Amino acid sequence: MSRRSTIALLLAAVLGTACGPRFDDDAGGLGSATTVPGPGATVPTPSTIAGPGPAPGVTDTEIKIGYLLPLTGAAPIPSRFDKGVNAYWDYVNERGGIDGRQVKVVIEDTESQAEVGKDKAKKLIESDKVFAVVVLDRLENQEAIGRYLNDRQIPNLAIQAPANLPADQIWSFGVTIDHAVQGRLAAQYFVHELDATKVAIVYENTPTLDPGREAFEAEADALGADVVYSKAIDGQGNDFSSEALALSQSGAEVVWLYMAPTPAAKLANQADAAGFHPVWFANSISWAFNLVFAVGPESLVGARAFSPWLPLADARAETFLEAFRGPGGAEAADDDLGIVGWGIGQILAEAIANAGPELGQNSLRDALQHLQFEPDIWAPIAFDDGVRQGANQVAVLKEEDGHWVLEHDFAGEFPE
Amino acid sequence: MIARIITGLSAGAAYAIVAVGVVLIFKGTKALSVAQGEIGAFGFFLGLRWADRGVPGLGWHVPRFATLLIAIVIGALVGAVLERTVMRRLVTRPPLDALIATLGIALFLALLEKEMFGTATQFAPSPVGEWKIELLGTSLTAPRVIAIVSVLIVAAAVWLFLNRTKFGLAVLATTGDPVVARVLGVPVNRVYRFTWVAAGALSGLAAALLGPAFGGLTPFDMTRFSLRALAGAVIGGLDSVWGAIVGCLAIGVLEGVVGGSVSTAGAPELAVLALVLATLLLRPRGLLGAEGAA
Repeated sequence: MSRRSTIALLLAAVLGTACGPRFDDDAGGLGSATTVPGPGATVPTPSTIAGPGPAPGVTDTEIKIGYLLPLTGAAPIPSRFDKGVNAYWDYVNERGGIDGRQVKVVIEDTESQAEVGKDKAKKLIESDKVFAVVVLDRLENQEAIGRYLNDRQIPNLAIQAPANLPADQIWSFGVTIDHAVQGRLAAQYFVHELDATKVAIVYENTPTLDPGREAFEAEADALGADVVYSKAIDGQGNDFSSEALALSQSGAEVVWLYMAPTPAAKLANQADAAGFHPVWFANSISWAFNLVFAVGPESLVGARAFSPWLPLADARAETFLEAFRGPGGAEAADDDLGIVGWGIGQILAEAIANAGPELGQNSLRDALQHLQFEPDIWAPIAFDDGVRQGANQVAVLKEEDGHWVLEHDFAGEFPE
Repeated sequence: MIARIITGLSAGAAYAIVAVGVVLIFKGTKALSVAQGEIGAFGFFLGLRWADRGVPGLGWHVPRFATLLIAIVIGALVGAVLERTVMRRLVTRPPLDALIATLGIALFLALLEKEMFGTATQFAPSPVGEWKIELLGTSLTAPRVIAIVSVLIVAAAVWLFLNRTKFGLAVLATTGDPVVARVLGVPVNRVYRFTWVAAGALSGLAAALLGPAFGGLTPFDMTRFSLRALAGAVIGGLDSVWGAIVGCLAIGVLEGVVGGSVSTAGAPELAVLALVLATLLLRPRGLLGAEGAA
């Protein structure tokens, strides 16, 4: 074999390796023993899943639920997030549980990494023997963990709903708005509610956000608004002064910061220092928490956010607040992180109750697939055959005196 | 592009303030410190807390400008304590020991900041005012302007101190050979203390300018910035104050241009790493470093 042929073969091997499946695509990763439907395979539908199915983590007296949360790592949530989770299940357990079963929660830390999250998912399934899993992490991590849980046929609720949830990922359910639907709604809201004619979007450079951004730009264009600035940033960066300058020169009236809270607040602060004050906008599950106003108390005045939950000031959050404060009622209640744990708990509890007392993973999946539910403080859930991204409505929040307040109740359209 | 170069220069100037401290410590003790960023950050976090919630026991809220002074004073104090309790014991040990010790100090301080002030980004209002200047199509905020002015003043002061004062000559003598310097009556321990105190104060100044310039400060941020300062010092020459400044300005510009043009996470860091590697391969002593200093 000539040297040229050898080099060509070597290059082909290297390029072939580079183009091969990523670890995220490894269907049988981490020792999964289940069979995954390949392309063209018959995907089980609710009608083909018979009986309640296996029920690990379920006894006559107890149901064990796993939570995967980024408590540490690059994008940690404050540890008191789990207080909202426990507040809800304590509330349920004090009232007799679900069908007489007390709910026990096992919380694991994903360390904000997909691989760690999958390892912890394996632990929850194999060691803790949980019945179902709730996942909250960055969208790309959550997608990888969701795929793993799907391969293990574990019913799982994802707090974020990716725009491209695969059709065969039948065990995963998103409880917030689909990113592509959200992109379209954001454009409608900017144009029809805020009367903006020049809009902008700055987004973290991750492919998972592309469907949302593309839908936003297409809808804005269709509605006659100019997308005067659209740029990806490195979410781990610090110096956003050039973006702040370009935004101010663009004349944008509303700017969607499609990113995590820290870069969003830093960018807004740098723009504020440069004298630029547009209406900043947060998408659902990004920086619509009161905490963000501690970082940008001046720059984020008047900001708007789409939210799958209601603000604490809304009367419908009263039950949550009472449970969250505890018996004495003395603890600081101004914590909208806890409301997330509460809302998701409500959705899962409703599905478990709908699955009936003869509980199994198949019956829970079936109950989730047909769940039509209006939680106290969360956007209405409307799953149906083939629809597992089921909360395509958002509340609109507005900053007032350093807190989010309700500007617009849950809506799925913002017509002219 | 010009706007990115100008804002990059201002960020580089703030890194350079940290780098001058790194060079001072290297000159005085031959130790490479990666703790410089977090030493200053700790003082600035404390100042921000006292401005926001008041000084414990007094209830008095310090004014914004005082956060800068607190950062400088606490930075100097932390530098003094670390020198006396940790670093002085390592002066005669292999340089790697001191490097690892400073890494441990940086981690300790960052974790202490997380414990005391929380993991969230801290709002950092400018201690030097809210004004800005327009320059060649971009606007430079007050902390960025002050960073540029400060680094020039600091560099000139350090140069004059080292070359025109008796104690400065003592520092240089200690750099050459601490044993001989001690025999000749140079107060070597005072030299060690001075370099750490001065570097700590400079770190406080840098934190109080970088935090507001970048829209907030999070524990570990300043460690990342101090690694840039160290890279700048390597590029410019570890024993050269002016070299470290030139190196940091180059890094600031490189980051500004790459970060503004390429949105891939880590691209600016990769560009900086490539520049450091190129320097180490082509000119190991740095742009302005003396022969054998690297």
